[in-house]
Amino acid sequence: MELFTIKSLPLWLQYVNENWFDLNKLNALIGIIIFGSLIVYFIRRAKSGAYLFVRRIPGLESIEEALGRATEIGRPILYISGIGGESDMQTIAAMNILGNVAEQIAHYDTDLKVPCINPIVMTIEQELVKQAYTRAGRPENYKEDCVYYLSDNQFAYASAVSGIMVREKPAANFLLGNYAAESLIIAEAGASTGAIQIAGTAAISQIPFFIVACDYTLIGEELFAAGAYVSREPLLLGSLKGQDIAKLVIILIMIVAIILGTIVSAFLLKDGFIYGLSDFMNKIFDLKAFK
Amino acid sequence: MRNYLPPIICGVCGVIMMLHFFLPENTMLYKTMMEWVTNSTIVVGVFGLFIGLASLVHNHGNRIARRSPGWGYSVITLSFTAIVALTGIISQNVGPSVVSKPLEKYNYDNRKNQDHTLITHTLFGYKDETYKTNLVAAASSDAPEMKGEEITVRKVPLFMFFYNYVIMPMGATTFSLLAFYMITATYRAMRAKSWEASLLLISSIIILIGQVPIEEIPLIGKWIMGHAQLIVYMSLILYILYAAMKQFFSRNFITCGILSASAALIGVIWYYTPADVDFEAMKSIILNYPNNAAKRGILIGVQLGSLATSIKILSGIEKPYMGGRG
Repeated sequence: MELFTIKSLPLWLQYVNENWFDLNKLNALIGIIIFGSLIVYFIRRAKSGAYLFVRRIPGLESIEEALGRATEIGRPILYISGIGGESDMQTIAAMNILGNVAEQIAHYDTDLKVPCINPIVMTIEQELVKQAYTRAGRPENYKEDCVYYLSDNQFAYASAVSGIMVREKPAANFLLGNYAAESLIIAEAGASTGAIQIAGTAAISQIPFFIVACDYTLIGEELFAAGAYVSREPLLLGSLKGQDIAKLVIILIMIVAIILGTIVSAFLLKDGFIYGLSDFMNKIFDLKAFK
Repeated sequence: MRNYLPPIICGVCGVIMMLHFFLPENTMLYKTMMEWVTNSTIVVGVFGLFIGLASLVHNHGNRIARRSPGWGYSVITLSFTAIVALTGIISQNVGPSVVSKPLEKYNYDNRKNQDHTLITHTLFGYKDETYKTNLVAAASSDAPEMKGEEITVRKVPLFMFFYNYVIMPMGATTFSLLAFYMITATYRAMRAKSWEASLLLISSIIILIGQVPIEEIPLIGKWIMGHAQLIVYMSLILYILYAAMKQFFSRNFITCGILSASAALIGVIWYYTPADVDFEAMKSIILNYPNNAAKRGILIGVQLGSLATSIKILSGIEKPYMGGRG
């Protein structure tokens, strides 16, 4: 008779008995530590007051122009943060930009409309806009119903947003965040009203649609950089610099891997130091490589 | 406390989720944490639903009360919100009858390896020509019950009725608008306004020709497919020579020289291109190499951006959940 089994242990002891680390993901952990450290280092450098250069992003430079135009002609500004949920990184990036844009809008005293697809995102954005108006010193200009919920159905949301664009004819449309098939429907509806359109997404399949239908498009990582770029806060700029250095490291690894791979296939190497190094380089980004 | 507690909760939950990623998937701790995350998401989602509903009622209620332009639409929106919510509450046995017919076995969800039977059903009696009516809706809703059954008349719960016969077709209609929007977008994209736009135009034409059955065009279809290299390389060379000539007349001799050399280089590449490279092969080359390289470049940037944003949120530098920066 078996006197002792793992299942007879208390629950917390059963947990302790298990392996808590998946070795297949060791390279991911090392990557996070290296790139995370780089970002943290540059954030600390920025904190100490070091000058950090950031290249010009035309899409973000034009925000001021779009807001000015909306104020001149007295029409509202429409801000759409995509169809992602509150845990979507692109939605979070879009929310960061909203905070800065709302602060500028509060100065101009222009109408802002933020229709949402997700109730949780709506709640966060309400708080963001409210805080932005307070930061700008115009809390009295904040309207409770400027951030509102439409529908959680993708195409119902797209139809509703298109309807708002056609009926209210906003002077500027911000389409930032995670988009799917509705991107072109919304962007074309906005283009037909003659509004300035600033779009940005990291969804690769939707970027071409935004490029053809919008005046300015933030491509991929520019969306994540936008919050730091617009606010010009040293802490946020520091993380941007860290990102760039991390990218440089990845590019260097790729160049070395390409050179080694070419040597291995050109000289038909089957073993030796160069072959081993090339094999290691190939496995760096493979999650199952370190099994 | 109001300022410190939310970032602490956010940081702790973020770190827990990160640790969860590194746990082996077959462990009990992984499953327990997964269950905890799923349950928490459901609870938050339910609260979110009420918040959304409150916002909807508040927004449209105000429009009706103020008799704002288009307030009639708000009445329709609120009425249907109430009707659809009610249909979800009432009995599953109440609903209209539909005629259904099983079509074929279909592995609807590859991960769960579940066989569903695709069925088609129609409100006005089954007809062969309505073969694909509501195929997807059926597969995702009530297909498993239909296994092995022949044409039947049966009740569909009222909520599913609204979903299958109102929401799905309306969504599909909006989605169909994309076809028209794509044409206008393509028209705008295919204008050779600059050097880069011209490259885009040429590559998109190659992909279009590689994608569609061009050989079926009477008279010229087969010739086009048989002379892919001549068409592509000659268009490129002629276009570059035209640009070089323009530069020559503008007295930009260096640019003119570079462009002429590029045209010559393309001629050399043409000479060494294997004879069997046709539009199909060119399409694959464009999609697999330059297109894939650009995609991966963007993806690397996006992932690093996500990592940086995560670090900023976990460390409390950015606090969107509290209305902005920390």
